[in-house]
Amino acid sequence: MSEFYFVESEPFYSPQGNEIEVFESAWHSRIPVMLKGPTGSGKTRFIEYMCWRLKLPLVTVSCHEDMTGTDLLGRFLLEQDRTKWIDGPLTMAARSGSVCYLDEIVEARQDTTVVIHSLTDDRRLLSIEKKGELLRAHENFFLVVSYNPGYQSILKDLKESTKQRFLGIDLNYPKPELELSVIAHESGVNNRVAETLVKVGELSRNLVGKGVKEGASTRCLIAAGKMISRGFSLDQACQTAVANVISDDLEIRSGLMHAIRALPQ
Amino acid sequence: MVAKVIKDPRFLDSHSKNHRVDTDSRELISALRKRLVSGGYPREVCQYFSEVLTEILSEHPDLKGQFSEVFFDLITEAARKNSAGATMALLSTFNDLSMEGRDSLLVWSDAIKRLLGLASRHLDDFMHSVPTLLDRGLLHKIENWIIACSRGSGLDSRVLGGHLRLETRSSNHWLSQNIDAVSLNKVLRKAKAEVNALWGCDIHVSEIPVLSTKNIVKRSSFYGSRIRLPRSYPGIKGELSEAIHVASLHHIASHLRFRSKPFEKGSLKPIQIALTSVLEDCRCELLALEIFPGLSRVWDLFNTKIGSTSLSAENVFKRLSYKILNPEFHDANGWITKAFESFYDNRNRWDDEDLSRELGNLLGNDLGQMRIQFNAKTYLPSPIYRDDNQGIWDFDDDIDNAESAAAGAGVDVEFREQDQGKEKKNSDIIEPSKKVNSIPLQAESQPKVIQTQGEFDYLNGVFLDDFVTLKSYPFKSHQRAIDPDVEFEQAVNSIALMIESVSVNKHHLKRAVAYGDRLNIDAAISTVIDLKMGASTDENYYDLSLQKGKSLSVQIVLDVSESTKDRVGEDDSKRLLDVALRAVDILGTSLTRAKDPFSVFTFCSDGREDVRIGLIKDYRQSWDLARSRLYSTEAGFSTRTGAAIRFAGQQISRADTYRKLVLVITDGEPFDLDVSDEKYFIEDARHAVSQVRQQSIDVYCIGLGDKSNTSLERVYGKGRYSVIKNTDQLAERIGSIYAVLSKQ
Repeated sequence: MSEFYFVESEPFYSPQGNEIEVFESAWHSRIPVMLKGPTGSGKTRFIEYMCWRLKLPLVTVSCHEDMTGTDLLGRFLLEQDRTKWIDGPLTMAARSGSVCYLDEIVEARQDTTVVIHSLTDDRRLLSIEKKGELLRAHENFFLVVSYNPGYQSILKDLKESTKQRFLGIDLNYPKPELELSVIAHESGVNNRVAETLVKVGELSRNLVGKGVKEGASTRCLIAAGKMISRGFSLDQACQTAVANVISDDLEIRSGLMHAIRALPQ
Repeated sequence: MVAKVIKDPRFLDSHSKNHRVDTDSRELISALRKRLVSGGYPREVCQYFSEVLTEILSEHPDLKGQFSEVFFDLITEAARKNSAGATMALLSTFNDLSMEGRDSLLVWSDAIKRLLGLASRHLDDFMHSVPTLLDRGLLHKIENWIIACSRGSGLDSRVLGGHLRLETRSSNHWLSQNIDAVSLNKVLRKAKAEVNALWGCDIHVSEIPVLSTKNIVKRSSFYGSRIRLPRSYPGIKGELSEAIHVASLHHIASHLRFRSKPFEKGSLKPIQIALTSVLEDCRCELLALEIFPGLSRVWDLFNTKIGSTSLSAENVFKRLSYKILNPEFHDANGWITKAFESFYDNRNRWDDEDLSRELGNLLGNDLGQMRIQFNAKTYLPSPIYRDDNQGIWDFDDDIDNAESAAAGAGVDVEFREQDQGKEKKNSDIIEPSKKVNSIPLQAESQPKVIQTQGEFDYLNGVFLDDFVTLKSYPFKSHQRAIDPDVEFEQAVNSIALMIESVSVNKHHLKRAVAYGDRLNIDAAISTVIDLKMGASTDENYYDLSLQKGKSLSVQIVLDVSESTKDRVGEDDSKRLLDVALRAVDILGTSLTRAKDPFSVFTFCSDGREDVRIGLIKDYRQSWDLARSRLYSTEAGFSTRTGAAIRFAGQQISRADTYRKLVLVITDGEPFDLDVSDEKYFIEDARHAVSQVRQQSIDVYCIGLGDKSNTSLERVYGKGRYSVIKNTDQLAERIGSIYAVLSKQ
């Protein structure tokens, strides 16, 4: 396995609860994990942290609607007068004993995601039809998927038979004091500014279901903090990194910005 | 600013009568005056006419030519149909405006021309409002307001008079919507977003209806999270008219955050109640400012220093409130200082909800001893953004007390008592303008108001809120549905087959097929590999984007206006209505067979207050039962198509299908009796179609009859309508509409 797939330095991660212990327990039992939570709540950062902690290589796949089983399993490619099989990310992870992280798995079509079924029960087998190979997963192979319940709709949802193969870890927006430390650490702003940004996050989340689908994620707030660190005002940073991002509705944006201006600055 | 006082000619500055004008102008004025005198107009009108025209031409010599004639025509028209007093007052305004400048004079002249064109006998009524209009600097908007008043009168002279005297809610609304104040609806979304974000509460805001001009609403009001705001506040204009709504909502939100239950009145006197309310307002605002200091920018706009040292209760309360919110301000009044110190001595108790009542009780006794006058009926909380205090008190059944406290704020207690009852029954409040009641299908003896809607005035370029009233009427007769004949069955079979075969749904990608929109790289590589290996191969290396199945709901809107009684066909054997009903029957039966959800309603109108909706079928009902209602439909009245389209849009927007289609079946141009401008209804219908399409709802029209209908393209757009002469052509037209839908 290439060094490229290892997380070299410790990613900054502050646990929200007992998610580290739950993940380690799941890893030891080889029970696949499903990370649930809104956008920017730290799902990807958590998996990077856990891979660093457990010293496991990480293969990440960003799922999308047009993704096929071939994209996961692998394909033959032409090479001069012959063909060459190239493992897809899932096969590569199963073969080499890596953590395979299927990011936003709900974006992939249901007929694509069923290829993971045989890997996620006690068989731990992957059938590669095109190659005629039945691959038994490496003992270190571990499957993690992320899943944003906010996107859940009639058109986009996981099959029950897929869902019920995982342990679920909920990662919500961090509590204010934790979010403050994350924003301050990641963006370089002082605690007073970080505290204001945490409140900005709360204001935006108050609008969920009232013209806003999802409130500002910690990631958005970190982006705002980085802008402030580079000399932008709080107003400019929140307009660009929060209001303009979470809503296309000019009135909602304007209302949110006015509310932000009422905060202690 | 234009002078508001209309001058009496007797008090005109003497030199104004002797302005120097050139010889030509003098001759012109003299000639026009002679024409007036020979026309038998009152002597004082003739005299004043020549004086005012002299004034105008001396100020603006270039207006000598055409304007003098226009001016003469206007004054003769005004004098012929109105009182001499009104004509004199009109002349006086021309006199005043000539000093304001040439442009003002010409704008005023156009407005008067419009008035005399639309309401020639209402000069008296109009002149009643002129001081207000000019005082508010609305000269350039008066003409549009006159048009709105005329349209809103429904040809009723009495109603028109009321509008022009600014005595009706609508007239004031058109003025405020059209002209100066930012009306509530325009700012509500933004203001609600701001308050919801900051306070994290879920508020329901609606407008306080004005029941009469005597009952001008001056303050906001709330019960729990249900907030009611005036449409606009007297004297608040421009940017402040938006800020006042925001300030008011934040103030009420502070009450909701820092007061968990209302005060009990107990034995408190009215002045103690008012004082307690002032202290409570200050307490909640100060607590709010501790966590949201930026709110001071919102409230300070209206928290102004009180210059008057009058010892009326109202003034003392204003000064106390200002002092509490601005501790550095020095107020020499001993009682205010004492009240201020008592409030701040208890700073550590500001989060105690009983504090205001306790202090109000103690300090109120002092006011009694100081013999400060307090009139509960005229008292208004101050600053202007504060609510009427009703939401923080529990008056039980003490209606007198509540009434007196609310009287000044202009809030009708009886009305709110009724509302309160409603709130207990239904906590899910829907704003009145958006509320759509379910329509009873059973015959009822009385029409039922379904909702009010806005209408687009293309001349003013504004959307007039709550301008049109939609009502559902009972079906007077019960006709048996016509039995299907062979032709009917053939049409149904043809349309149902076509509807069933068309896919109208989200696009899906079918991979590795023999033909398609793009190359499938994997399949192509496999094919090449197979070819190189000498193996048999297929040619399935394309991806095809296609639609599976159908997710479409249809709202059929049928025009049943008077014109559908016209006879059609070679021998005039049937009415247009019969053709329309048969078309709808064929469509309904076909859609039922294809299992597509659909709803049908008819519409006609008798002025803006009476747009008649007849619900034939909603989405859940059986078509078999609805058919008899369809054939019980009677034709009559006019065609206010815009209102029907907006209603259709609201109805179908609730359907949970992927695509939604509003299908309008009409025989003619939009028209109604209360507005003579034919273009008005066409432009309103066009606006309605645009509004509905913005919600991703398709709107198509099928025109009936052999009369060419020139407005359909304007209203629905090219390719979005078709005209049929009889039901034989229906299948083909429906087919083309579905074909377009399936391609999009």
